[in-house]
Amino acid sequence: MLDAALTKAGTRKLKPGVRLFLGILPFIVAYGVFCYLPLTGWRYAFYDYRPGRQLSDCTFVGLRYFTNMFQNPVSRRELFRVLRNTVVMSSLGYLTSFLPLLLAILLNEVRNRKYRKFVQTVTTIPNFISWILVFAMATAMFSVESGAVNRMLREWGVIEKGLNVLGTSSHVWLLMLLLGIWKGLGWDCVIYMAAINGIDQELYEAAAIDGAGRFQKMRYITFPGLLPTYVTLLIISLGNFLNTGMEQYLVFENAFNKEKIEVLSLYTYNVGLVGNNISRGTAIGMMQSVIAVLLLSATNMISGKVRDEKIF
Amino acid sequence: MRKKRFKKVLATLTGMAMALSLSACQGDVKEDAGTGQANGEVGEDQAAKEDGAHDAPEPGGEGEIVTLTCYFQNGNNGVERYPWFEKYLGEKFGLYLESRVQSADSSLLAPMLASGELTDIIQIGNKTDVANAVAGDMLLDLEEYREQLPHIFGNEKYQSAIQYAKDTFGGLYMMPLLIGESGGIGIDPQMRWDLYKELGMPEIPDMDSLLDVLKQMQELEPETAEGLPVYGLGAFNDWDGNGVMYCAFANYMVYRGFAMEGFSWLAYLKNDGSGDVKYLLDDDSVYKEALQWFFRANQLGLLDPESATMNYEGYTAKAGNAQYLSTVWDWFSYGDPDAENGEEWWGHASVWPEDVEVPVSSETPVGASNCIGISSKCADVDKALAFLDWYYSEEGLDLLFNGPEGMLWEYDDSGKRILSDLYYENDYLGNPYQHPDGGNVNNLREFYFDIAVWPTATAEHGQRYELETDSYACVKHTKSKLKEDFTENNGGYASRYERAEAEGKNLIVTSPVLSFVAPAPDDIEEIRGQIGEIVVQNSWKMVYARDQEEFDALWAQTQADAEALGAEQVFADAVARWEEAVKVSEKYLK
Amino acid sequence: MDNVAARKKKRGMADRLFDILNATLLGLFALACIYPFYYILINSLSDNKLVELGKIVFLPRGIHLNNFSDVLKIQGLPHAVFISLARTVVGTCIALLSCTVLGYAMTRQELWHRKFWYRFLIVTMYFGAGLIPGYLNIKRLGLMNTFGVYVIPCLIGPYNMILVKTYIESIPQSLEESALMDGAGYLKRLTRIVVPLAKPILATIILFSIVGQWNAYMDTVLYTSGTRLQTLQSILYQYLNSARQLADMMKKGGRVSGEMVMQMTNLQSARHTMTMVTIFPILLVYPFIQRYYVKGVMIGAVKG
Repeated sequence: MLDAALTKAGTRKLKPGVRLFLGILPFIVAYGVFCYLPLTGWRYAFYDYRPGRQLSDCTFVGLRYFTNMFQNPVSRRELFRVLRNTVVMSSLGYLTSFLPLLLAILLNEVRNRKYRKFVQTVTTIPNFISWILVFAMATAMFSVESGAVNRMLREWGVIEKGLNVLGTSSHVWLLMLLLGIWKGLGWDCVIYMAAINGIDQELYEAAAIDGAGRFQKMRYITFPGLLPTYVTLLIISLGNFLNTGMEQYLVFENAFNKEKIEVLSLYTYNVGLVGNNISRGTAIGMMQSVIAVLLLSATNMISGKVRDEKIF
Repeated sequence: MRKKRFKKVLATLTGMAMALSLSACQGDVKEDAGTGQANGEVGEDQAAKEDGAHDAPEPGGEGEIVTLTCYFQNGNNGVERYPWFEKYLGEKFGLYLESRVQSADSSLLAPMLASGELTDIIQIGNKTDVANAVAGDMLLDLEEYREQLPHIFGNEKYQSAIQYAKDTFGGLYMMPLLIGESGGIGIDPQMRWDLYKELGMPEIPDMDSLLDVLKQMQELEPETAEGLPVYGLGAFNDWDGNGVMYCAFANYMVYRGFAMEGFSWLAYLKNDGSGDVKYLLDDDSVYKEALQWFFRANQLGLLDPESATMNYEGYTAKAGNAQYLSTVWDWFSYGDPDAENGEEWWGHASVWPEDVEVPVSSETPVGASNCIGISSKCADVDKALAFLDWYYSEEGLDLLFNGPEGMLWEYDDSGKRILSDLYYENDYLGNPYQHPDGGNVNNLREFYFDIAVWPTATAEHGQRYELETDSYACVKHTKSKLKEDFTENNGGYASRYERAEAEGKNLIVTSPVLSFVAPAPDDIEEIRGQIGEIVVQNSWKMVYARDQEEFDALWAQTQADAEALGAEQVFADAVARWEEAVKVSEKYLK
Repeated sequence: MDNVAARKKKRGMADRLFDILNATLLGLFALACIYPFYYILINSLSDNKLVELGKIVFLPRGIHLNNFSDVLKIQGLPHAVFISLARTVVGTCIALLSCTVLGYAMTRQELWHRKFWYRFLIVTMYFGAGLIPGYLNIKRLGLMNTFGVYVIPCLIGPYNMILVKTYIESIPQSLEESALMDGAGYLKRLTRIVVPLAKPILATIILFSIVGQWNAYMDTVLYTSGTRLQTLQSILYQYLNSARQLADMMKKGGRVSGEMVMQMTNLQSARHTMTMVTIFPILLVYPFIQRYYVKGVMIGAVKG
């Protein structure tokens, strides 16, 4: 629309690149207004800000909110433990990040279209179930005395006493990983399904003429066709390496698995670092943002070196 | 000048309207209520109102309806869920309240404060936020509208709260809530009455023998009718958080008459404020005793092994399903009228170990930390004031607590209030009664408001405000076989609490000074957050420790970690704030 | 010759084996995914007391429809559904417009300072200003209590924009270049050539946006008051919240009657209902989206 209007107004003389820019300017402005304008709020992080008072009436505290977390050996130890959990769980997530791609390829190979559509639809469902409900389900299944799984295992004589799956710190990482996969796999696969359909059909036809079999097509056409999407998504998500989210861990957390389940965001929540104090919350958010952007730049640079192609 | 006079006129008008509807509502029992009043001043006040009532047209009912926004930090649902109440406000004040929904983490207040604009009517939950709002000039000084708030300024029992608010904020910018007498007990040790009888009602001299009795009961009934295991008691983890394992606190420390919540982390105190403030992690701490008690319960097989992974929801489900022989609260004894009345009736009733000191709330003469006020940018100050005044009036309180007369409650032949059949047919069974105009009749208070007074306080009509807590109003309530039997064995008293009150023992009156304790400064809060996390985690591990050795090692570890994080500082701060509170309170407590 | 036939036969066998394995594997996974749906369904139908105890795992017991009729009794439900639908439709259109235009522009090398603007957009994914600055911003923009607060922020969607950009880049350049020779403007190129080719990814974004818009409730809580702009999700959220509030009251030591404890059980059913409502749009919309996931889009484009 804008493009046309600008043309009429006699902007034809402008360079095409500038013309295009003017066309997208309104959207750029929207980003500026909704994302950049509020950033002035970051200054709260350096004050003891009390909503209701003018910022000029609040005490300037400098970097206090940034340094407080590292005060003494015990809190440093705790922080280290929490970081370890975060890194481990995040890494496990990345190690399994190829699964949605795999699922997409497998789905694509299903010949019966109705069956494919069915599986595709159904696998997205877990994504929409809140973690609280997942926990309720897990309790119903794994409860020591009355859980369905424990009851079955006991009846079959596999075990004598019920297993307390939810109340132990062993295998927590694995359990969390599996639940995470189960919940997100189908939904994450949606993008790859779209990407598969973007692959040039002529490639398949040409391959068929060359005598390529089904597995070869998967290996040499479908998979490489999805790779750019995969890499892009991976790099985008690397910025969020430390932001694992918290809800999942919050609902499954208890005194016995806390040692291993507590990730950074959950820790800040538990210790009460976020919430009441606006300034501290802002400082934490700011730190996370800065780390994310740093990580992003680093991965982008590495990707530029290794693959000779930068995403950004 | 003109404006002021206008306001004065309006004030009288509203006052009269109120008096009118008050007399209309009270009808034939007004005399009865009047005779119950010992306080001359209140009587005068009422007389004055009636004087004015003659030449006053009713402002409500006609004219357009004004919309005011409101936000109740401790409430949740908007008036929209109660169409009947919406209609009532429209007819009475020409007012429509448009509420802002409370978000889960109560974060809406902060952005509102930051933007400098509050809702027209606002309830705020803590003193710090109020002070900030006052600093930002966002609230009306209610003192300037004395004439329009006769039920607030004319009521003796609100006066020290008004004074306190004025002293704290430099003017009556907000009116405190939950003022005055509170009464009643929050925690009421319960156990399975039928099984206790079967055991021959053994004496329970102390908390430890409580466990032994529970053990015997468990042997009598090892599993429920559905075949699920029965435990002496259960616990849950999602209320942990103030730096203690919540259940250890509620299930033991409180029984022993110690207070902590609302006071401080890492420090505890006898509930009546006597004695010294003590350090939670001392070797002779009552908290350690509590953990030891739970540890023993677990060793005896009395503690639900799933407690550590269970949340409150799971706990209530199991308690409701008779899997626990004892509970802390009396509300599970309601549960199932059928079970309490059948041929083989069963259910919970209060059985107290002889050495317990159950805390009784006494009074909060200056109100709790929440308060209500009117925005300085309010769209229609007069209507807001009229609402606020009604909010503190007996008439308003009556409606907020119990709904309109003739629905869930009615007058009996002697002119006293009782819960009606509709109540027993609906709300009592867990299906809230719907008003013909839409919406639940009961629970306006629970869902929507924190209110001027405590539900258990005595109203001017001589009964408790919330009739569900008034023993006279609940006469029909006591008619289950379980309750009859309990009363018979309880010296004729319908509840253990009443008996304790009459006997004058086993109760400890909560010190009103506790409500004067100021919140801790931020840096302290941060340290205690870190300590609290460790304490809670280790508490659970101690309760489920394999043996005494592991228990002791964990305790030592907790002490050491807390110390390294700066527990000393936190404790010193708690002591200081308590001493300060004692000093401040002297002015307001007689 | 024999050799080729044998190889073909062998391949056929392998193919079939793979098909069977694949179908079974996916079937099992589908089963694992459909179970929670089934679980919630039977739990919302069964006796609330048994539900609380976690007794309903495989079969419904004590079937009743009260939970659903309770939801239907909610005041102002039709209006809330209308608002939900409206924000979903309008918001999705806006989101689609924004990410298509931006995504396309970012693929054009000649865009004035392309690299800078691309980074400008992407970085916004990683930082947030926090609750209060966001609130003040919306207030300053005059969006408080307007329908706009639901849909105008849909202009922001860096993630979707990247998806579109990556996808367009995978489309052979030759197509667009041929259009360029015809002297078509950017708008024409975008609408005539790029959009038809990018259908699968646009369909995906529509799906994302519909789900996001339908399930959003925080903006209702933060930026609106009263019932006028209430959405279905925000009403359900309120119900969830009120049950939590009750638990909170008990925790604070407030006196609670037995009847209120029973109201707590509504928490479970509110949660179940909310989940059903959340899953509903996806079950409704996804089959339509899948129509665009048909192979051969590209061929059609080249030929037509």
